[in-house]
Amino acid sequence: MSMTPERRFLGLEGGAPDDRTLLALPHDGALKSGQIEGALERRVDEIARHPLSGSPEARRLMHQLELAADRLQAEIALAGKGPLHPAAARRAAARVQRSQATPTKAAVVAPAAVTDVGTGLTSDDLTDFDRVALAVLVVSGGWNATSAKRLAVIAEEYGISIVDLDRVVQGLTEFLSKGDGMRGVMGEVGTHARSSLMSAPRTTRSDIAEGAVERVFERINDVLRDEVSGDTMGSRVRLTVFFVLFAVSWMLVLGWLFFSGKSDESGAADEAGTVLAESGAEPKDAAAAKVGGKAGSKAASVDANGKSVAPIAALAAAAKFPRPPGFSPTVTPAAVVESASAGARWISDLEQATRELAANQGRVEGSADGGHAFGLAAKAMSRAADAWPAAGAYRNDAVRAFGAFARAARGNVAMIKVMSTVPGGITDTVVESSRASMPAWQRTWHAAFGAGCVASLALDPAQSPELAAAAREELRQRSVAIPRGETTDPFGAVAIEVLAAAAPRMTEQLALGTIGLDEVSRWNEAVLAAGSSPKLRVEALLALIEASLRTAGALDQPGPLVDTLAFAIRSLDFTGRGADAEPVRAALRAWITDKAIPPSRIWVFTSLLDADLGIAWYGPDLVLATNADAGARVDLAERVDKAFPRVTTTTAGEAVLVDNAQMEIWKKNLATLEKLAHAEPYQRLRNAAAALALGRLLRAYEAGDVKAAKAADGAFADLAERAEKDWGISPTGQRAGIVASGSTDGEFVKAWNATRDAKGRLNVVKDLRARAAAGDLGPQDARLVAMEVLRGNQPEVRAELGRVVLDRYANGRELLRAVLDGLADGGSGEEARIFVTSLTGTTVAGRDWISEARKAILEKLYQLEDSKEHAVDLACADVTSNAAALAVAFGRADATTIAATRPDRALAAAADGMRAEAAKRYMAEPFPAPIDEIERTRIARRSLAQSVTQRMAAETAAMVDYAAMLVVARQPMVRSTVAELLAASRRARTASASASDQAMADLETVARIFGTALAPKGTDRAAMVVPIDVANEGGVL
Amino acid sequence: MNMNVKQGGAGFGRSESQRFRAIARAVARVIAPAIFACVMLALAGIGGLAAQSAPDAPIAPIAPSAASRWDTRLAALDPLRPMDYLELGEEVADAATNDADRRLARELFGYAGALDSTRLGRSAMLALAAIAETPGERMRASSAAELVGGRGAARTAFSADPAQIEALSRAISFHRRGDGRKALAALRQDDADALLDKVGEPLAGTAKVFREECKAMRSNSGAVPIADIVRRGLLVELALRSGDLRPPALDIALLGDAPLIEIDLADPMSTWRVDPSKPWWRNGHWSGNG
Repeated sequence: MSMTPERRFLGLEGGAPDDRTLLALPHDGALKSGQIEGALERRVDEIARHPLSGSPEARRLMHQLELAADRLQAEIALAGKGPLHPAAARRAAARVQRSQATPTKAAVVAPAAVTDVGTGLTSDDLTDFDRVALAVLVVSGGWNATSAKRLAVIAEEYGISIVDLDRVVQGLTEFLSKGDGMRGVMGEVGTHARSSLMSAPRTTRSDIAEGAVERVFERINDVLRDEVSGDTMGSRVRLTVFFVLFAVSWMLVLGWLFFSGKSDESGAADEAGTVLAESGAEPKDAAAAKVGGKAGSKAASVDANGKSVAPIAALAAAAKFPRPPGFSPTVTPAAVVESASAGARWISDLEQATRELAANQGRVEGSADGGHAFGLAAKAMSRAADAWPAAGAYRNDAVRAFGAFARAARGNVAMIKVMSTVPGGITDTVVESSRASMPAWQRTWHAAFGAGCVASLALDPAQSPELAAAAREELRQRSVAIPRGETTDPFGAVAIEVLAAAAPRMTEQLALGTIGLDEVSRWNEAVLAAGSSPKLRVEALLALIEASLRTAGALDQPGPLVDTLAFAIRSLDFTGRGADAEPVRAALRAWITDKAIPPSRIWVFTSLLDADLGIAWYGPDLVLATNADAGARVDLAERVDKAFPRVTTTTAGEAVLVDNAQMEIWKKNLATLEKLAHAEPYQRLRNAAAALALGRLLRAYEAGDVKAAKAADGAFADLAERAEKDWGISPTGQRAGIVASGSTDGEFVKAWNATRDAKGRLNVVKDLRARAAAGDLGPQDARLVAMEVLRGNQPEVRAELGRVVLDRYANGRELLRAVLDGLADGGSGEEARIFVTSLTGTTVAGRDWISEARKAILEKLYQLEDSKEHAVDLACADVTSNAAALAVAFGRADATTIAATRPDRALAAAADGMRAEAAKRYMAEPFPAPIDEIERTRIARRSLAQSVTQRMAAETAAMVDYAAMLVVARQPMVRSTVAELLAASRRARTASASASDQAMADLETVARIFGTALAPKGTDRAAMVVPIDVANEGGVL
Repeated sequence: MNMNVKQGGAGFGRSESQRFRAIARAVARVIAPAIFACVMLALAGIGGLAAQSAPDAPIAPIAPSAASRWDTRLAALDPLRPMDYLELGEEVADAATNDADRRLARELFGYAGALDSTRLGRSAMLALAAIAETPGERMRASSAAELVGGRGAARTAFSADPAQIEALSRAISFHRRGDGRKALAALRQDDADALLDKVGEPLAGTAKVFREECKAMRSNSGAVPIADIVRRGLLVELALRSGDLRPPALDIALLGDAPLIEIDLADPMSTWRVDPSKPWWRNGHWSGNG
């Protein structure tokens, strides 16, 4: 037997195997495109693993395999049994071009990745429909009945008439025949187009069925015509038999239609059910059939190894962009900022208008004052509408002042005039007159501000019913829905509604290129200003995403539209926490399953979700394929819904679960902290450091980091257990000299004064050196020695005395002080400088050497003594290290370098880390205050602080607020407990006698607040001792 | 009384004595309850007065003369319009000639701030600072203004000129040596006196004490014997020389550990020194019933 390539590489015996045998596919039964491609891939792998895989024989066999696969794919395509696998589509397209394109690995690429080559028209010039039409033409083998029918259906979906379709096809044919732009990229076009192929399988099958029926009827028609025209006996008999059979068949059909109430399938099921009910057995077969039916549909899309073989959504690769889509909002225009800075003027004008209107009894008739009041109010409101998003608190004041102005109005005419003063309405003359010159975003601002003001009137219980009714009518005229239910912020709710309604117009203009991202920045600025709660902001952002998805602009290539979409995605919270989780989850599901949004756009959207590192739960397996059909979209929506994080809410909320041992450690440490002495500053700072260590401990528990927890516990134990005497020890270990026993102060002075000559004084100096165990002198002796060493007029004696001092008395405190004071007299020379350098070990030089010398001596004195100052420095070092570690635990990796030495800076880094964490948490109502307000007071406190402890206290106050925000965001049920802790902390701060006490009390409060987040794991719950009052709150500590 | 009866009744007969005692007992029975009742009534009256004045204890009553000038304007105040309190407070403060007027102005500013802390809190606190009676009150009010609505504009930092530091250092050395004359002379150089005013408290309690000590020292009277004063001088000088990078302990030695001024907006009584539940001026005093 000859060794054929099939036998050598694939182990196939016999000659000339057919296509199915060649690809190891079943000999009968329907095949799927993906199944064929999978088989081809396996065969190619087998050949590639063979030692002779690089031989021409192997290449020929691979070519044969491809041809076999293509033939089988062609059968599927001709039978209309679904779309081709992308790789097959590419090969088919390559063949159409008569080029020798090598099959590449199946991959879905963005249409934007189609490269521009050649001259004239390129793939970029093609519309979505053009690409689909091209692919259908390629797959269907050109312009024929099949492709015409399929394209007609698709064209209808795109709103293209048959005449236009004809023109499109002609144009495409011309493009293919003359243009060079698609060379090498036809495969990608085919890949992109499979979405449309997927969306039309049912239509294709009906088309095929319709063609078959037509053929049957044509055949019957021909036969009947022949028989009738035959005019023979045989013909008559055959015709009679035919019509009798036809009549009988119709009667059977009619009878079946009339008397068969249920389908065979359900009837069989009923029958099985009846039988099983009689036998009392479980309808296993029926159930198995049902399960099998469902599982079978899934099993059909995977092979025996569970590997997907069909073009399902999981095969889609995420869209790639040359740069990450998105943008940073531009800064507020200077003109707007300038206008906003005059916010106080708006309010004063409105108040002035209110006074004038009140003086005129609230009426506009009969007095010039009333008219002037309305004019003044209208101008103030218009100015406010120009700049309200940048005006901060002035906006609220303006709305409030406008409410007061409206309250002053009396009578119908005045009511109408009040409404006419509100900007953004149909009677807004200010806007109308300057509409041409006003940018679109400013008109949106006007409309949102005006609607918000009117809503605040409509829902203000303090307003008269007449005015409220007029305001509601005004809202209706503006086509703005009146907020229903309990609305805490009518202005925000309605302004956001207007802004959300403006999103589609904005995205359309973005797609058209008539506006840029600056417009989106301004829109976002207004949303941030109006959205007093995350829920409102989420509403606006969802509207922006939806508008981006529905707008007919390219999403799969870089541009302002996809940048806007990515920006909105990044602005939304997909963590599942907070009040906005449910709307976001529902919106995700709705978009994915919405047939009005093409799958290619959802593909980009899901790719952006996948690319956003902030949405950790969204993986590449949740990227929708561009060819996804309705079923795949529903399947993906379900998977996304399932993957969307759900915060399990219990009475304790989202607690930090710890085991019994960890809880014991926490409780013990907290109790120890509360018992630590705090009379001295260093003790208070030590306690602050210990509280920070507890904060680290909780953070480690939260992260499940055992090592970090151990380190934090060790740090706490070190602080709590360190002996009091160890705190004040000099860090350098140097000890001060002591006065020699037996010698009295003034002894040296007396001996010195007793002799005047150098020799005698040298002897006195010699005696000084000879003093036993001497390290210091008395004050009088020290002063004389210092004076002589610095300015003695006997050089020999001075030098010797200096040597004695350096040898024996260099660590003498009295002597060092005497030298320090001796320098105050000045007049010391070079030798004195050298002496001080030797004495202190620090080089002092230059013109200001005395200044340096004083500092060096002072530092030496500082280091020689064991003192409370060292204790304070040591405690501050502990605060620094623990605060920096806490900052690192909150994501500030740079904290250890930024805040290496300063406790206040380390605390600032920790507070910044907590703020960053808190900013990620969404709360329906900010607690204890909005982050902006916490930061404002933090900055204000910093500005008031002068000493280091005050600067520390400025940071710790903010840490308390952020700790409360973090814990309550996780566990809303402990809010009142935390509120009590906060109130106690505020009282303690106000009553504190020192800044170190404030810092200590704050950080202890932080530890207690963190403690409320802890809860025992389920099995250890019994180990907890729950105070009754807190247990009622649902807290745990 | 009984003793007097005994002493006085030595010459009377037994029946007379018994009769007198009976009369005395009767009188005592009448007078004693009367005295007791009077005492109790007096106590009750005092207690009642105390009870009546207890809730208003933190708020001293306004002198009638101060209130009467502004009575009409005060009566027109409405807590719905907190701005009116501020404006009237400014008018009262401008026209204030005595303590009663200034107290009324403070109360008006306090009500303005308590009724609308968001809008008027800062202005009210700044106004309170302007009419504060003591430097401490002024500092508290200006700091509170920053906390209520400030954005870090009050930033102040301790700074000293190197020449000032050198001069003060010499003065400290001379003071330590007991050479008061030289110390005073050193203080007169390079504006060291101004620096001494800043660091007087950590150095010697106050700057004045330091100067007085220097004046009291005779020339070369000997070193200052008190170890604490020596120690303070060394720490302050080292702290000054170390500049902004001084260790925390030296920072505390120089600038102290005084608490950061804090207000509790949740407690308006302590913050604004008024009771916001009594914002109406009725019959010469603040009332809770408009």
